[in-house]
Amino acid sequence: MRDNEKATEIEVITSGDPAYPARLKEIKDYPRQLYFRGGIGMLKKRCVAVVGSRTTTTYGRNTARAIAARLASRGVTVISGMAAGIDACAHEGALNAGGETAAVLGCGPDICYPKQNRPLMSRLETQGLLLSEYEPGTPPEYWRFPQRNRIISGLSEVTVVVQARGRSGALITAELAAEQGREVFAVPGNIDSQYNLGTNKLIQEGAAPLIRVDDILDALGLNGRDEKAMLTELTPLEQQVWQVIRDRGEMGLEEICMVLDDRPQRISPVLSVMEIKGFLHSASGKFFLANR
Amino acid sequence: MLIRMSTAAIAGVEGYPVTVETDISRGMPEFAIVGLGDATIRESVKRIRPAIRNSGYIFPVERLTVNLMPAARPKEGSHFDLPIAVSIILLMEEWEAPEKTAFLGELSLDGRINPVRGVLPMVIGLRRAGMRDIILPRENAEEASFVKDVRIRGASTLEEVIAYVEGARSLPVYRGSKSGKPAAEQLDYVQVIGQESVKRAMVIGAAGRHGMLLMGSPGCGKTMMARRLPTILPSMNDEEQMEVTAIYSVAGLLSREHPIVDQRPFRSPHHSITLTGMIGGGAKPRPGEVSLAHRGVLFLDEMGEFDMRTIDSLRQPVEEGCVRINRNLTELVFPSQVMVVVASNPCKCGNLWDPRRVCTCSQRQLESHRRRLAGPFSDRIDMHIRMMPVDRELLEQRAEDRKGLTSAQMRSQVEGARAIQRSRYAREPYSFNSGLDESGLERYCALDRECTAMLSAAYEKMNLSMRGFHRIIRVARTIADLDGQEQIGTCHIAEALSYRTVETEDRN
Repeated sequence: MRDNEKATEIEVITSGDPAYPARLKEIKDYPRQLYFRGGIGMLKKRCVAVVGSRTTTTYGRNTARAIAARLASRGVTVISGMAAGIDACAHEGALNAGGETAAVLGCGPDICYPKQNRPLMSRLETQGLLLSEYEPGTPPEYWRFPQRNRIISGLSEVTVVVQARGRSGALITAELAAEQGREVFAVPGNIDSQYNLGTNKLIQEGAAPLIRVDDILDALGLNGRDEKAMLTELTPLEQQVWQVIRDRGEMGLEEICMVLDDRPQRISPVLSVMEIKGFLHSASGKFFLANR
Repeated sequence: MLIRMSTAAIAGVEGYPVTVETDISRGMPEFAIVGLGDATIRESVKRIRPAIRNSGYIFPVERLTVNLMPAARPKEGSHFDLPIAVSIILLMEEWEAPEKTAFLGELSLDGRINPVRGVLPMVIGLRRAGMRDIILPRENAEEASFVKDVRIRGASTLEEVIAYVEGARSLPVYRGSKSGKPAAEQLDYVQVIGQESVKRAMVIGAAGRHGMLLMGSPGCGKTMMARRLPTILPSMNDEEQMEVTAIYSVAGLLSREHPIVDQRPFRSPHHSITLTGMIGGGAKPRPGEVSLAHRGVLFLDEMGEFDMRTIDSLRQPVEEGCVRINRNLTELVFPSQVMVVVASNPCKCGNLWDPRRVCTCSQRQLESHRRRLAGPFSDRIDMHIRMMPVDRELLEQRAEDRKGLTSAQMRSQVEGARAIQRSRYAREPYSFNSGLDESGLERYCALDRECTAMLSAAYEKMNLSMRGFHRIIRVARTIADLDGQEQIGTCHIAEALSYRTVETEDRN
């Protein structure tokens, strides 16, 4: 649990600090220092940017919430820009799922922009992370937002553009992500709605279309299954086996028996059952967690 | 003047009685042996004459005709020397042939008697024919003494034999030493570090006598595992020992010091072996490796390297438990009840499964390697066992005092499961779970609803074939027997599934 009082204080971190997110340092114009409020540690986890335009449809907002919730429940940190529309929905989705989310701002970390996001910002202060390269008190200016977009994509392994119009700032984020060598997903939409024009165009230009939420998890190499929900389906011994294989990657029967200190005649039936149920997958005498 | 003596000949691994008829008559001196003898027998003329003279007897300067009866069966071997020589001397000295006494032995030119091969099956055949005394080379007496209810008399010279027949001296009955059993190399599964899961598989395979394929990268211990398999098989009873010793006797493979095979054989032919070497046969039919492994283990290391024709020809002998060879209008039968264990690398270069090395095989090589494991012979392989080299780090973590299973512990599990099978299959032509055919599976492996559900789920998920399906049930039957359960449960099916045969999976 994070300390709420401390979270509201503005702290600063420089690029030499070990806590400075390593992924961000991979980009060429990474910020030398970051001001933040909240748990900076979440940036060490797997991060996915969920972005989109301010003007949206219900489809876009629901999709943004669903994606963020799914990612958050799998322990992925959702990065966005706390703008109105898709960005706000992404933060909300992650927070509602009890997951972690970080907002990269285009103004000082103490300034709320847009104003209607006040309640969201206070939630982010305590349960999430507010991040900015601008020092406290810096006012929002239109030219700062594209600047901050490079941080959003730079922090993330994957950038998902949920919904964007023809000239949305989210398209800049996507472009930067591609330049930074990060994967870009775009959610396809109706071609008769101008709200989807930007995302559809991204697909046309080579971004991967997101046809189901778990595509992102596949791209991250994460087992798409909800771990907690899944473990309840397993017997205690199956859970042990599952955890052993998860911790070590691929394992043979002999090694599993050794780690669990159990007899093979007890473990090998369990492995077969789990394989039939689809939790495991075996090849060449080794067992892997199934990618489902 | 005519005399009849008893001896024996070998067909396959069976001995049968032969009567030596010797006739001396006036005429041009001649020595002819008839009765389809081979070159060794034809040459015996040249041995017998000096042997008789050098032993101090007279060789007749008359017409000598020897007939080996039944005359129509081809015969081979040098053991006819002794009965022929004895019959000539007895004729000359006008003695009667001794009753119910048979002679076997090869002669040296000085009259000494040399050991021959195939003594045990011949003695068995002679006992069956009602012989009471058998006189044979002293070196063969130990081997022959295995047969009860017959007096074995070892002799070392022709003179001794004649003196015995004429009652001048006695030849002691050989009782058998039974003592000098050489300390065999002590193999034990406890010497295998780690690999408890593979040991478990070995117990299952041994209990149901299932054919096994050990797959794993080089050096992971496949041969080590297979070599120790005879140590967990129940020991052979007298009858089995006699069968196996007879085969080794015919093949001439008995050791002089300990001419009894009392340990289950383990045969591991090299992959350059010919079809005849594997199955048996040849111009003078000899048992092949599959028969030399009778009642024991036939281990084929590097199965992929064997000639595919040789491997495929094993199918019928392994299935039927015997090899039938047709030669000169007669059918020879060599027994071949073996447990087959096959080892193979996962690919041609062997590195496919090794995380630390790189497999250099082409896709084509991988395919062909896989095809080799799927020939007709592979139907006889019920279990595929995937072996991994054990992580050194994990081994070191394991407490010192925690030793693995010993061969003795494993053997008692195997014996328990085999006893169950013996009583269950008392009326069936087969005696092991591996022999279960379709009707047997229905009768003895009734599955409840849960098991059926699990199997059909596995059928979908694991790409099983119908054949694979039956193999799983057979192996599950054995696992249930090891568990002492009459009803096959889901845990038995699940464990059997882990030994499923590789058919279409493992495409990486």
